[in-house]
Parts: sequence; C-alpha cells; structure tokens
Amino acid sequence: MSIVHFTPENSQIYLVLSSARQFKENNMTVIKEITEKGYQAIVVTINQPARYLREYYGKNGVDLSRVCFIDAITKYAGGKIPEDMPCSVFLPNPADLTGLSIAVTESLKKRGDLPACILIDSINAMLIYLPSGDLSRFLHFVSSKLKILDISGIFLAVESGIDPILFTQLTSFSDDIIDLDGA
Amino acid sequence: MSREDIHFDEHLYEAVFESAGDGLVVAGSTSLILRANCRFLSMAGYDRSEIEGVMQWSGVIDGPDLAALAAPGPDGGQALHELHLKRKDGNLLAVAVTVESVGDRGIFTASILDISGKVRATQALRRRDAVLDAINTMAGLFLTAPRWEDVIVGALRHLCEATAVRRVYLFKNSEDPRTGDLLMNGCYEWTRDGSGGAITDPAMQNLSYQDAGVVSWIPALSAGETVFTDIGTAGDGERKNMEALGVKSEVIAPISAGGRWWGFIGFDETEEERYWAGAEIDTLGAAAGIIGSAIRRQETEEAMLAFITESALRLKNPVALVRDNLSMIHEDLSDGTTSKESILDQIRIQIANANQIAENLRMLNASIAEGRQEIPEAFRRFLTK
Repeated sequence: MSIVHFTPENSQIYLVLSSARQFKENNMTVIKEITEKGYQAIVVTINQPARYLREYYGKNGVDLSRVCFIDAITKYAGGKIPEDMPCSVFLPNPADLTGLSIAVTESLKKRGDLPACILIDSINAMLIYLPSGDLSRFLHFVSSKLKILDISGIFLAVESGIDPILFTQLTSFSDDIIDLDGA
Repeated sequence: MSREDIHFDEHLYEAVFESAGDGLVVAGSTSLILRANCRFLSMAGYDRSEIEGVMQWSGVIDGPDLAALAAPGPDGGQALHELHLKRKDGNLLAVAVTVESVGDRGIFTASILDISGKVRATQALRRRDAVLDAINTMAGLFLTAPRWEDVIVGALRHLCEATAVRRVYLFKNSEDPRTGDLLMNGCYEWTRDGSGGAITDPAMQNLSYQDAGVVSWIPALSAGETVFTDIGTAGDGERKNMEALGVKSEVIAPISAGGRWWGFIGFDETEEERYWAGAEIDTLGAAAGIIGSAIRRQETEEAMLAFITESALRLKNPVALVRDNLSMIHEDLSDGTTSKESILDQIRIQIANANQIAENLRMLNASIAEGRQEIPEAFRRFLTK
C-alpha cells in the first residue's frame, strides 16, 4: 500500500509522523516508494550521516541513482567527507539556514527533467540546532518554494517530539499528515 | 442719637459690611439684590454695577438651589444651605449660604461662604476611597483571570467610575525600529458614557512621545513618577494635543513591569481643570502598580511556559533522539553490516548533538537569567557560563 499519493501533476507536501523505534525504517520505506514512482529524491539530512543513509538505502534495494543528499551534519560533527558520494552536498553548519536554503534551491535546479521530492530528516534533529521559531520560518520558506515550483515534499518527524504550537504550524504548511505508526 | 452719631454708625456698618471675610448680600422682597459686599462680588465675578439693584437672586443661584434657600432650618431659624453660586464666567462655585429676614418689610440678608476648597478636598478623599475600592476589585480580577487582557477593560471601567473622569486608557511603549524613538501604542480604554474596549484607532498606534508633544513625560514616567497636567499650565506641544482631544486636565501614571517601564495609564477630564489631591494621585499610581504586577505575572508565566516548551523541544526530546540514535548504532555494530566509517560518522554526530544540547541548556538559562534582576550575579554567572 502506498504511503504518499502525489503525482508530477499534483504535488503534495506531507508531514509524516513516525515512532522513534521505526524512524530509520520508515525513512527508507518512503524513499524507496518515491524513487520507485520515478522521482528524484533529495534527502536533507540532519539526523543521520548521508554515507550511512546511502548504505542503508542500498542494502534495502533503493535505486541510489535517484537519491541526492544535502548533508548538514557530517561536516559539522567533524566527519570525513566521503569521496564516493555522487549527487551529495555537505554543509558546514546545520544552523545555517541561508546555506541550507541555497543548497535546496541548487539541488532543485540540478534535477533536470525528473520530477523531484524533497525529504527533510528530521524536524526533531533540526530542533537541536534551531529555535522552534527559526525552524518554523525555514519550513514555511521551503513549503512555499515547493508550492511555487510544484514540487512535492515530506517533513519527517517523531510526533512526540513536537509541541502543539509547532505541530499546528507544520500542519498549516502541509497538505496532509501521515501517521505511519499511529505514533 | 445725633445725626453725627447716626452717620458714624452708618459708616461703621458700611465698613464692617464691605470688609467682611464672607460674602454678604442684602435682598429685597422681590429677591432683587440691593447690596452686595466686595467679597461676594469677587466670588461671583461681577462688578457692583452689574449686581446691585439690577440682578435677582436667580441670576446667581440655580433654580433647585433657589428653592432650597427658602427652606427653614431644623428649628425654624437660620438654615445653612450648601449650594452653587453661578459665576459670571459660567463656572459654579460651591458655597454655604445662610439667609435671615430683617424686619417685616421682606428684606433679607444672606451670608455666603466659599467652601469650594472643602468640597474639593472632600470629593478628592471620596474619590481616593473609591479608587482604593476599585484597586481592590481590580486585584481580584487580575488574580482570577488567566490573562490580564481578559479583564483590563473591566478594571478600567472601575477606575473610570471611581475617579469620575471622562476617559481612562492604557498605552504600551514600543521602540521605533528605524530611529530608536520611544513610541506609545493605545491598548484599551473606558469612557464615562459606558463604552470601551481595545483602542483600534491607527492614529493611536506607534505614536512617538515627540509627535504627541509629551516628550517631557519621558524622564518622569521612566523614573516611576506620576505626571499631572492641566491645560492652563501645559507646555505648547502638550496643550495642542490636549486641545485636539478636548482634555482639560490629565493624570498619567507610569506602569512598570519587573522594573521595566512598560507604558502608562491615563485619566482625562474634559469638563474642568480638575483639582487632584496628592493622596488621590498616589492612589492612581497604586492602580498602575496593580496593572504592572498583573502584566509582570503573566509575562513570567508565559516566559516559564516558553522555557518549558523550548526546553522540551531543545533538551528533553533531543536527549531522547540521541538515545535512540545510540541504540541504533549499537544495533548496527551488533549486526556487523554497516561500515566502520558510517559508524564513526554516527558517533561523531551524537557527540555534536550532545554538545549542542549542552549549549541549548546554557542559552535557555541565559535567556531566563537575563530578565531577572532577583537572580544574584554569582548564580547568573554559574547558570550562563
């Protein structure tokens, strides 16, 4: 059963909620589904290193040629930037929203003719590095940009890690909410 | 008695009549004022030629008061009547009048005492007591309401009724982001005709003290002092502002919240240059203090809620996230299918997360300590280091 229901002609922005226990697996399941639908997946990762996600996706049969990464945490944490990571950008600071916005814009430009879908992993990890007000403004910017460009997007979050005000704001930026585990 | 003696007595009585400290009037049977002394003329604001042999009692005493004058005293003798003298300039003067018939030709004398000072002081004391009652009611309202904004209009109504002024209003300060000028913003008001609510007039928003002609208020209000102004003594700028609003006198009491000058509460009188006793002005300052306390209490509660929410978002939940990630690393190490480089990256990220969580805690502590004068410096350093 498919999780997301967007098409190139009908882009959607989803807030996808997951339990903490199933989070990594749910991330992979969503990416697998959207790549199988023919989309170029652009994964903005703050929670896991891009190299780790790439390995994990690969082990689970995701078509890696359709996955790009914007990794905002590996470089910041002092990790080595892998050389065998095509279509990946490593940003120096997860709190640098300007840099992140530019990277998102550039990735969308590079996608060519393929329909694209952006996945942000995760709202909860971003909250370590950003005050909730700044995060809300950034996500508003991203959702507005995606709407203008008619591109689909997914905000991944652990529901129990979001306060009611932020949750309401995220809901207003999204077309629909998908609760994968009844979290 | 010789003619000279009679002449001397006439001069003597004339001198006593004219130099009396009270106003004295002799009136005929038709209530025509025959004689009035200097003090009465001064009280009424007329020249002698405008009164004597020209004016009836009804010219200087209002109708209802005139009827009261005819009432005898409790024992059928002289009665003391407190009523209002109509001055030539249209203002009313509170006076105490005693009337006595002289002989059987319908002539009577009236002694008039200016009691306006006593009346003002009595009114001021009554208003002070009424304001104290209003403060008591306000304190109850603020204590039971979750938000001061929910009950402030009711509080202003109580104050308006207690002070019997034309208008009571609340303004909040802000700063012009471009120029740094101090601005005032109308929030709520109540008027004597029974209307009130939020002030929505755009002209009352982001109004600079300079443009309102009241820049002179800033030093006093920021120092916690109440400002009293009447139109007769106001400076040019302030007078223009008062004239535009039809205000004759006003009291402006500063509102402080946690030691910060938050704004002010104003009391406008539009009908007269009103006498405000010192004790009365002090109670208005106390009313402003109650409002400031309510604002501060709510700010503190909101800050606490924001702190709890933000600390949950940026401390408690991130710790849970790091815990889950460490658990995942453990699983990855156990099953042996993940590369060493990926595992090391994961561990580095969790260390970075932990560092950031500690920094978040420091920043949250600093934001709380920043606005709290009551936290000793040593604790402040400890919390924010």
